[in-house]
Amino acid sequence: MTMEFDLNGKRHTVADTPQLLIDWLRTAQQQTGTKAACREGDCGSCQVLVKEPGLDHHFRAQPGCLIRVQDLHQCQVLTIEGLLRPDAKPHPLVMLFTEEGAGQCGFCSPALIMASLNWLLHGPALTPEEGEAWLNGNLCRCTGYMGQRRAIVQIASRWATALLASTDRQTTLIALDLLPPYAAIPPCWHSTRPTISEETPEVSIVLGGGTDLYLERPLNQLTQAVPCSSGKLQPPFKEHNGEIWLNAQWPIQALADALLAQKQLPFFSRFNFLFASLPVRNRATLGGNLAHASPIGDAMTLMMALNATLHTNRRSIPVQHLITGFKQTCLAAGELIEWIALPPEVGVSYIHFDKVSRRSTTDIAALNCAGCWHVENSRVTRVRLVIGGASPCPLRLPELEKQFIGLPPDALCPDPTPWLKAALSPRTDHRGSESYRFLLAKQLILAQWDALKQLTSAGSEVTP
Amino acid sequence: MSSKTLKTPPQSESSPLKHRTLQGHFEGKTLFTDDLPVPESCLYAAVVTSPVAHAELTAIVTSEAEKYPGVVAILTARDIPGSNQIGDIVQDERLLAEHHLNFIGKPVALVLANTAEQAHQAADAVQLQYHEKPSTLDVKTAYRENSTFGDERHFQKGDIAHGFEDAQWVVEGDVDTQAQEHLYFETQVSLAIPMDGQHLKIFSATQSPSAVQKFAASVLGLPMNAVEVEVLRLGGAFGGKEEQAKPWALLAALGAFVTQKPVKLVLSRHEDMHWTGKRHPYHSHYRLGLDSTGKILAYDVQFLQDGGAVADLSTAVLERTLFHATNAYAIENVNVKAVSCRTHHPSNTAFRGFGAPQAIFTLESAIDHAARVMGCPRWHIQQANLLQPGYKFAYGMTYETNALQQCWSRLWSEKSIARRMRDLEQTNRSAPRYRKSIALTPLCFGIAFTATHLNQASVQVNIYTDGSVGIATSSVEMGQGVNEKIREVVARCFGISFDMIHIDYTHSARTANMSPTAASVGADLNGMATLQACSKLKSRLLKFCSQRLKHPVEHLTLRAGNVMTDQGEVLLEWRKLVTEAYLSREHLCELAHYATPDLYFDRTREQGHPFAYHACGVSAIEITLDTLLGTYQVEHIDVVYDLGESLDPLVDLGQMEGGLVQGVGYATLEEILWDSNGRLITDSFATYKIPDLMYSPRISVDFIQSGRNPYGPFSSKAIGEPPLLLGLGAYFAITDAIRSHTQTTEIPYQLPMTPEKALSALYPSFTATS
Ligand SMILES: Cc1cc2nc3c(=O)[nH]c(=O)nc-3n(C[C@@H](O)[C@@H](O)[C@H](O)COP(=O)(O)OP(=O)(O)OC[C@H]3O[C@@H](n4cnc5c(N)ncnc54)[C@H](O)[C@@H]3O)c2cc1C
Ligand code: FES
Ligand code: FES
Repeated sequence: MTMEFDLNGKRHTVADTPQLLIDWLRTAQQQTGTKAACREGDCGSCQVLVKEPGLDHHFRAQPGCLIRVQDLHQCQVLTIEGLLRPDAKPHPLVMLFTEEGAGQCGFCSPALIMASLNWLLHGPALTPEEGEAWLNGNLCRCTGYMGQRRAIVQIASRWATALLASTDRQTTLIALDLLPPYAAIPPCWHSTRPTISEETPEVSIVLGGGTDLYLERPLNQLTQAVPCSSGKLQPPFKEHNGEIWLNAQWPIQALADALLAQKQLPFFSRFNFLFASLPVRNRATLGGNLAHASPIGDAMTLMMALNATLHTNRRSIPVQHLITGFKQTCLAAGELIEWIALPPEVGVSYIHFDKVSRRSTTDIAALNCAGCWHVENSRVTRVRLVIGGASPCPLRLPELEKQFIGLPPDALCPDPTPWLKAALSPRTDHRGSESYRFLLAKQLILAQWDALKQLTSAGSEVTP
Repeated sequence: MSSKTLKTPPQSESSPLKHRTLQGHFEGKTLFTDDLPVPESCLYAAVVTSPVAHAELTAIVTSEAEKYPGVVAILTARDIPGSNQIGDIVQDERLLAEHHLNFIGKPVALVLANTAEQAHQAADAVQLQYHEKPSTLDVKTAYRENSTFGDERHFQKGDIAHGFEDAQWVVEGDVDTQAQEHLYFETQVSLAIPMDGQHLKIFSATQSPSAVQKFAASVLGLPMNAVEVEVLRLGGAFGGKEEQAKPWALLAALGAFVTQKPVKLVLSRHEDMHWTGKRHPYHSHYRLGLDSTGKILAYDVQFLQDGGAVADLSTAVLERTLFHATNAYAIENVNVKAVSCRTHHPSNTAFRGFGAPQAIFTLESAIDHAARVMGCPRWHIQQANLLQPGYKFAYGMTYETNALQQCWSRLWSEKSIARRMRDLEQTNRSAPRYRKSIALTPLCFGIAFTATHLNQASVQVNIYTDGSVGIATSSVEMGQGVNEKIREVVARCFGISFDMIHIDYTHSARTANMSPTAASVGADLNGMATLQACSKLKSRLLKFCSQRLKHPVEHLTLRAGNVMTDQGEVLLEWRKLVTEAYLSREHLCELAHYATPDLYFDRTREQGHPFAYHACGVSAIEITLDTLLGTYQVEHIDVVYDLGESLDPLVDLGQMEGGLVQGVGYATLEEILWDSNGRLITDSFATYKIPDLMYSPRISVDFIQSGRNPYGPFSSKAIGEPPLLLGLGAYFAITDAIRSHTQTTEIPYQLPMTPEKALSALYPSFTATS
């Protein structure tokens, strides 16, 4: 079987041999503008723009080191080489970053252009603060961060107005000479590839964004992992009997963008921001994060607190029943999480997600913590508290929850220590020692209470 | 003395043109070694290394691996035609292990195959047989076992016993600083190409092309003139490619020489992190005596350095620790001891700051300790002891300027430090969840290689007949902007625009016997040599012009692409001048050699004049601490720094900002962890965390010029390493904020101050065990 996709406006047909996009670009294509400093999704220097079938039909910056060429069937890929203009006139973003001294050795530099375009395509506000968050996945050791900040300010002041007024940012970006004209060519999405449900499911490996799979297994053991684009052809979320159903197969960032645009689930923005880095979020899915069953997976902690139900292609599973052991789930071979249903109660609760890691952003948590609080007549009536990272899988703390029932949010927080000690079994590793995790767990519960106080006293409207 | 401020980089019209290299970076056009097209017949190398920290190697079994597909050759020490010895300062390092495995990652065999994947698969199949031996993995044990590189060194000034006798306050304690990973984005890489049977070309991402050349020659049993080394540029280095690019370049060279095929060797990120050395961890012990006013009367300190498995640059790094023991302070009675210890870690090596950060953090810790005991703010002691002109350092050199005082007072006045400190204290008093604090760090950093002989550079300037100029320097471009600065020197000398000036890749045949590009002096040394070469060419050209135009030479200048009279009258276009000079058989090329004058150091007396000058600056770091979760944000850094006359404001600003962020990373975030067998745990970007954009503070930089500098071209000054040291204050800002919340807590003087350590210090009485 051969794969077909567009690279910088040119159609390529490649054999179905396991190969990462970054290697294919740099060796087979001799296009060395895309760099790789880590090959594990962490540095951002390999970002390329990919337009996938489905989703919102737009380019998104993704890590070339976590994409196989096979995954690109019917996609469009845009690299730094694709932005260079035949008339040799420098690209306006290149000029801005250069003038502001936003690079030194240059190894991380091309990716900043790709990340900036991603921001300009999707950033809801296009303010300098937002730009920082959207370029935060581009590490620079040298480090040109201050120059990048200056460039971000310039970018916002040069193009925000035009883009915010535009109903079609891609077209506007082409008109502004920031994207090449061929970016407008729509990809051909006649689905000729088998998706997982059509193939013999027993032997197939379910593939989401691959951001876990590709790091854990050699590519040649993943020949059965086929991208199932069908999920991306569905909407990012939908309402169903008062429940909100999240599409488990959408990249997390795209899902967050859609929720934000529709003013749904305000807490999800913070969760999204604290989850990995932007290029990783542009591939990683909630379904993959849950199915990976990591003790420290952020989605599991949040979804348990929200009392979510998973809808697979076969059945419904309460989220807390998904994980059956350390990195083990109850999913059968080929069973696909399609939707994550949030009960109507989520709409009338105070929800707070916290995560403490060594580096405050783009890092894996030492611990994460989610709380879903129900307050009536200024008293806590129900609460679900979940802590991840202190046990083989994220843990709900029912005994501790009881301590809060009946308390007004401005009361002193009960000392959670005894209940945490009874429930948690943290271990020492490079993200933190056992005693740190115990202490941190306590502090995270205090922080939940602090957050509830803020949320309720601000009189902030409960989420619709 | 003039004092000039430069707040934001000037947006000169020529800047896009000037920084066209940077433009190439953003366009992805810049070529790094791994981007070079590989010759058709190229083989790929994988290295088999020691899996244990200490062992006697008894056998290398390659028979299985040889059968793997694509394998062309597997080489061991026995296949080395010349010498296996590659230690530079001390001859204690073998390219490939013979009998002795002394760290995890010690190269043992080289596998060459048709693809990199095949090479790695076969490398995994090579079996090593060995008898494991007990390993020494921490510096204190090594010191106790007397396992050192050379003797303990000793710098002294005044009468230490007397100083302590007079002291009202004496504090004493321990300081630990951790290893720091360079994490240059481009991993170690080289490509070696046999040119003919007796001649080899090596592309290496190294800061020391001549060292690669010298040792490749000796490993292969060739004269140096048979080995060509070319360095395109480095994707970051920070000292990590000064000594430690060498083994990988030599292995590629060995493979190419033996097989007579091109060989490419690239370390994966994991290999690079496991196998190469880091910033030296130090353990130090201080005693500080002060009078009642906070004046330091005596400082007694001992530094134990974890040198790792071989000497590498450790003794040189240690020497810089000794030189910087008293940092920016005038202390009359000083006693400094320092020794480098041998452990079974990969050899630790150069890293921006080169031994100074450990020294400076130790003294700042001692001052912090004293301030707490005396109940005064830390800045009070810092200010009371700031260097004064005329102070003689323990190593005999006199501090001559008042740049440090200028920086200090300017920081206080321009950045409202006093008011901000008062405001913060006031806010903290209301016991908010988020607390703020500010810490100051003064810095005085000696500029020169402390190995005097390295303070030399040659530069070749070629003017081509079309008027364009090509420069071959002795320096390697690695993002520090040395090439941009050299272009500026040439542009100023010849009065021509930047687009006419090209800096060649660094090449051992164009300039010979290069010192490493290090010690912050690349632009000083190469800039001065460039200046000399250009001056000679300029006077030759003007003399020619004067004869031809019958115009007195003293009234001619080169400006705006022309020969002009000093009245501004254009006499001849630069290009025409060059063409005519060529036709008249004038020599249009010049090779100049610069050796920094006035440098000497006598190691028997530990006295001399090791530095050309001192670079000075002061920083103020403001942080916010979340006292509930122990997390913090380094909010803002204000810096005043004596830069002299900037050759390239944008480059200098970038050096300052980048160094500060690296320093903040070192002080707060970056932590190397090994397991009990000496295996690196934090071996990836996922586990070794460096600052990202949002982690990084806002930075505002005030460059001042305290006076003329005869050791830098056009009175410019070095800026490569010092900024990193100015980031160290982040540690103290965080611990100050912790103490504003929890007065009683004992916080060890240990880098880095991670959120974990901060939280534990905030809640010292919490016990996890029930
Ligand atoms: C640099 C980096 C940073 C990261 N940071 C974080 C972080 O901060 N927090 C965090 O929680 N995680 C983090 N991760 C991990 C996170 O990216 C993954 O867990 C991700 O969410 C997995 O989604 P995916 O779609 O990429 O899954 P894949 O890698 O495609 O698959 C993972 C597993 O889930 C299965 N699977 C995938 N989709 C489905 C589905 N719809 N139904 C059933 N099974 C499925 C696969 O078969 C596989 O077993 C990080 C990863 C990287 C590389
Ligand atoms: S190479 Fe680092 S994210 Fe891909
Ligand atoms: S410029 Fe070197 S890593 Fe960013």
